[in-house]
Amino acid sequence: MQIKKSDADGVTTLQIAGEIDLHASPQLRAELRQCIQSKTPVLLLDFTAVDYIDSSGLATLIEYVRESSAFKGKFGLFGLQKKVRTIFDLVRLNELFVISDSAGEAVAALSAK
Amino acid sequence: MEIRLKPDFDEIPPAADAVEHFLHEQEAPTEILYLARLVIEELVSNVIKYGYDNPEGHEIRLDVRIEARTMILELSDEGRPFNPLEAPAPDLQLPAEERPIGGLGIHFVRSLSDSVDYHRIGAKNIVTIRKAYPS
Repeated sequence: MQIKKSDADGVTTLQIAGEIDLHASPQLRAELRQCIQSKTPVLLLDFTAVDYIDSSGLATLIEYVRESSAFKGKFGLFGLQKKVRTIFDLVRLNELFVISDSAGEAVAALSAK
Repeated sequence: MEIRLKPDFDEIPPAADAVEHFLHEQEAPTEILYLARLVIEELVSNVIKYGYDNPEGHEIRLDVRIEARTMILELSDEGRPFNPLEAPAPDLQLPAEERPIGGLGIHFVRSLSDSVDYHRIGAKNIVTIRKAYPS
């Protein structure tokens, strides 16, 4: 798994590529911990190139949402492939996160919150 | 195909890769490849985490085959008895701060498979997953 971080217009984006599995989740968790420490106000995850996620990956995202609520961090994902989106839908994570098709839509949805 | 793993987390990715390669050769569609990986990662890691007092000397066996355009994946282990069908479903109504983190893996496996069967035979847990190729 590769993670590329960028900042623009007050939005931090983590562009993730590859598989978020038991072995890769600690790397994602470390990256998200940095965002917690810096109290990142708006964090988007670009899932366009994510091929796979399992329960360890979802747990990592749920942990981030819990911890970022302390500083009212906004969090969303975009660009999920259909097979990956199915996993989110199965545990109704669309009720906890903004999940959008594009970065623009995600930012608009978070702004409306 | 049959794979034997030691109860070690490092054995999971190569086993999942080998099964994926086998299924790819059988022209299995994406849904089947995803489910096979998920089953192996979620169920094998459960066995490693909770199955043994001492994992030394034990093995986990995976048997994967295609019959009539259906994937049949059988996982057997010598861990303590555990029936994934009896695991409580996670409460998905809860807010983020109370949302359960454990139990999601088994929920995925049960939700995405056509059927999940469990048998305890002698000292072995045997879980059989079936998933037909989508038409």
